[in-house]
Amino acid sequence: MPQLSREEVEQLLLDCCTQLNQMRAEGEKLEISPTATLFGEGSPLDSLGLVTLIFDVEEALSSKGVEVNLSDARAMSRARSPYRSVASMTDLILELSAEQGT
Amino acid sequence: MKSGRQIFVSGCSRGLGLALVEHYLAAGDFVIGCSRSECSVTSERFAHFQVDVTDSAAVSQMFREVKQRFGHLDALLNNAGTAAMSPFALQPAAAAKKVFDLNVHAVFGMTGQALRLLRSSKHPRIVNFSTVAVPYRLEGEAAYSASKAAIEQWSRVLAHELGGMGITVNMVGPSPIRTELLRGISEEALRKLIDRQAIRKWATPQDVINVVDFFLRPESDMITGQVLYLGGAG
Repeated sequence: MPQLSREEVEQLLLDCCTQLNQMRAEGEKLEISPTATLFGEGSPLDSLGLVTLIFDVEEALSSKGVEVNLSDARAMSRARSPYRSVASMTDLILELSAEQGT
Repeated sequence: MKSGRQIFVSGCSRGLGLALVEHYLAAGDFVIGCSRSECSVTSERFAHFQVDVTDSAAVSQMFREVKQRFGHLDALLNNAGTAAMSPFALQPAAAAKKVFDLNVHAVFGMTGQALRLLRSSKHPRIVNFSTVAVPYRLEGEAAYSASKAAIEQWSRVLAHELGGMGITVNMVGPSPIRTELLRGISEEALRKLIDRQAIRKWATPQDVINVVDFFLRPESDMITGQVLYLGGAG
């Protein structure tokens, strides 16, 4: 399985956020920034929006040959949500894809 | 009916599951099925996976392969299920757990995996299977009917969660059909159950298929979170 760099994963995630924004109303759009909050306080993303984003990101990763399940049980059971920010979600993707690649 | 859909049927090797496979193949659809045992169906529009749906790793692997080979799904029919008929006081805990593992947790797992493949369908559908044992509160079927009641409530909530994606989630609740699921129940007990129905006769797989067809129709985009029981129960 190909290994993507942190920059590539971050860009892919931001591209998915941009794509999601196309379907979201003004005032509900996600901030497109490596330091943005994705889910939780300070983000307009509700749980359905998060599910859509996760599926979009999985699909985008799959098109690059990276097969990961971002709702992996370990990800869901962490004390701090890995979905809270662009940075933490990037960490999660890198971690899961590294495991898959080994 | 529009044909050419990609329909997944769990528990496809016998009984109602097999009837569903044969029906949708005859309708011109592509059917993907899974079962623990081998499946006798042969068609160029049928793919079979020999998988135990309670094995989450095997289910994940199966759906990865489904995605690679077929791309998307239009419908998931969570037909696989089991029954354990016994008075509660005499039922070993392990037997009740087995019922919940297959009738509840496996449905959660299968659906979680299938969601990713259903998203790209124009009319994505999930159909779950309940039973008239839920509304009739049948003695001797506590674990079985509780597992199906759990799936009913879960499906209603899921209908709300997935409505934004256009995915409908509905349930059919068959009245007694002569399949292996009813093996072990006396003819007298079944007769008494059927006598409680508004329509006092045995159901057939075709009666269930008729309901599933209705849920799968493109015109049923607004039908979600519903349970449709056969025979007038509920």
